[in-house]
Amino acid sequence: MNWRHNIWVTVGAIFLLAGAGICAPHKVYVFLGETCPVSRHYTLTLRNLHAQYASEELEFIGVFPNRLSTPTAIAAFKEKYMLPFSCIRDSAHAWVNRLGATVTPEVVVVDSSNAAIYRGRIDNTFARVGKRRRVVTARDLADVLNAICNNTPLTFRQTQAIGCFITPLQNTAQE
Amino acid sequence: MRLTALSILALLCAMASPSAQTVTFGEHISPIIYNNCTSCHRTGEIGAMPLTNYSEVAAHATMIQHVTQNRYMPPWKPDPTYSQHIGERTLTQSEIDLIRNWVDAGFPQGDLALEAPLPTFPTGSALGTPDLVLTMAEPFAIRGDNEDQYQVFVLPTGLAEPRAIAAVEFRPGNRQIVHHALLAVDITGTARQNDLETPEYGYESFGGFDSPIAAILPSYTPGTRTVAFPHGVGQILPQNADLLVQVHYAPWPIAESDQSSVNIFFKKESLEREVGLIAIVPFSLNDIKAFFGNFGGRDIEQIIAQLEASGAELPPNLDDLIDFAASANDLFGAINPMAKIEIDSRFVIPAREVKTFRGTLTIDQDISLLSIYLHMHLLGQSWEVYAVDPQGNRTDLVRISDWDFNWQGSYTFTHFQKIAAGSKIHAVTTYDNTIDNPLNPNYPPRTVAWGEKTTDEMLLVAMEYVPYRQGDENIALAPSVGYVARIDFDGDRQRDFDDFVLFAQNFGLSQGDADFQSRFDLNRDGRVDFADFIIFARLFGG
Repeated sequence: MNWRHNIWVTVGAIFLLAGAGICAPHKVYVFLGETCPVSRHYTLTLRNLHAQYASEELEFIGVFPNRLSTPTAIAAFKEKYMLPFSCIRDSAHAWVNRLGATVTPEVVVVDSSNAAIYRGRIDNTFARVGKRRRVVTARDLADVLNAICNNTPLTFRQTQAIGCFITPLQNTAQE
Repeated sequence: MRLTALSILALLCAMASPSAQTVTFGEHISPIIYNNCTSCHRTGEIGAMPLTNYSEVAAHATMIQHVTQNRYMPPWKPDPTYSQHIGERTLTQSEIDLIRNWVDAGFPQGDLALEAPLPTFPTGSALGTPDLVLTMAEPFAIRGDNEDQYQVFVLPTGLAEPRAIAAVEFRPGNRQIVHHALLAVDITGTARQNDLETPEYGYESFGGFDSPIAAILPSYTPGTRTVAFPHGVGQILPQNADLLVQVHYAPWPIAESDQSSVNIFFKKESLEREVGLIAIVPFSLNDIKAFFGNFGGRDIEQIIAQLEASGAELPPNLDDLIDFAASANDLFGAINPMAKIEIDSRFVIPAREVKTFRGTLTIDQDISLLSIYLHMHLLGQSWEVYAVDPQGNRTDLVRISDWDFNWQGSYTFTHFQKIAAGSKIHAVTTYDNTIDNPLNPNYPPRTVAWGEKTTDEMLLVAMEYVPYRQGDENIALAPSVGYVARIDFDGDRQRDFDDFVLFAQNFGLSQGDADFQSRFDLNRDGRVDFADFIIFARLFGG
């Protein structure tokens, strides 16, 4: 065994080890509502997913589109439910319209070119509002994040998120 | 035509109902929301979305439209067109339509001068000063792991002598996490022992109390109206009894704690009739009692070994009996097995099947029912319970087409329901043990039988009753506070002149008349007559 061989083995091993932790730059936008019980329920899952997948290359961002969501209310929710990622207010629905979210919680995963590669539920815990599965059988967001981290090519996929409908901005000038 | 002027008045009212263009929050939506939703949907209560003013309601408008249209909210499982119970929390179709039209129109605010006043929500007891307050000895910390928790707490009453209960009021300590509570009485000390054997306060038990039970008390769900027993009627709380409270804590993503309490009100008058309990379960309690005896504490295996050794003939459904005997024995103290209970098949729900069971209970004396409590687990889908008297007349008791374990509870009839001797009470239940049932706790499904665990199933109808007395049908089992749905004929949550107009229009009609509607026949004697007017007058107002 010569020294060249050893070097290549070492370099290869470093790449293999590092590969698991290197994800191409992606963002996970998580639409949330602090008055939505389904959003509240998923804070635990989101903490776990963040701990497992978040990195400098894979960022989680909480987006609060409800018009009642003041900066104070958002900060209180982030603190109480220990959300480990930054949270932004979207009262004008700029992010809602850009990313096409209709429900909280709903996630939209975008790649480095800001193209959406996944939109929908975090997992299939809820069959519908009030019907909570006792055995979760589809972990859609985790699958997408796994694929990103494994550099598996992805084509855009969409699922139906179950939760609280995002009330559209008022379409009459009543206020 | 009777009462023509009143008919025209009613017609004018109908014509005045608003079209989609004019529905506003102030005038139309605020009374619906404030009187049906806000008691739970305000800060500190279980409803996460606060609904106490225009901007809060408008901010959740689309979700309100969705959950009212699919009737997920307000949560009330029994079908109100089948039978009537106290404290019905349902919206009329016209109220649901109003909400839909209002949201479709962009949820306009309208004139807030017309806004309904927010009801005054009681902060303390809804009944007054309790005679006995039992509080959890210490706060209980939930795990905060997004799983349901069912914890039984033992609250010693320390009563020196038996007392007659007039009403029981459960008061959640942490209203955000307490989802529901079942209450029972133990006089054997078993529950205390269970508590001692676990390191934490209380002990975990999903399907029951894991203890013999001397009585089942009214349960609590959010929005429940506490119902006091009528004059002379009550339940006995034995001396030195332990009150058992099984609290269901909703799945929660962070640690929280709760310290709930129970208010007990004793009868001021002497007790004339004690409330008893009858039940429909999948097996004959008499058979089990005859077979196993009251074996409290003895090992079932040991009993069977002795029986086998003695050469006794073992029943063919021995496995079912063994499964069932443990919990049946717990219920012996609470349930009077009035008659042999028959079910049309073994209580087994095969994997990947939808299964229906039919149970029958024969009533051997005239009785008056006060309430009905239903219990099944996560495979449960539907219930229908009704009585048929010896002449073939049918009394509908409760129907639930979309069973939800989270919203189980006891339902008090608006009036004593007379069940004549010789009647049969039928219970028809359906269970879905396929993968299409998202609540199925087994994935892939496995065959399920009787048991108290989440992954087992149960079938229990428990009914509170007293021996029948002449005139019971006319006794309204009114809630102590709140409005009485029974004479709110127009569904506007007021018992007012408009309801009287509707009642008057139907006065004098009898069963068989084309216009006869049973809802105006308050005493169910087939005629809308003076006797109904007396009931109407008593409930009128408020």
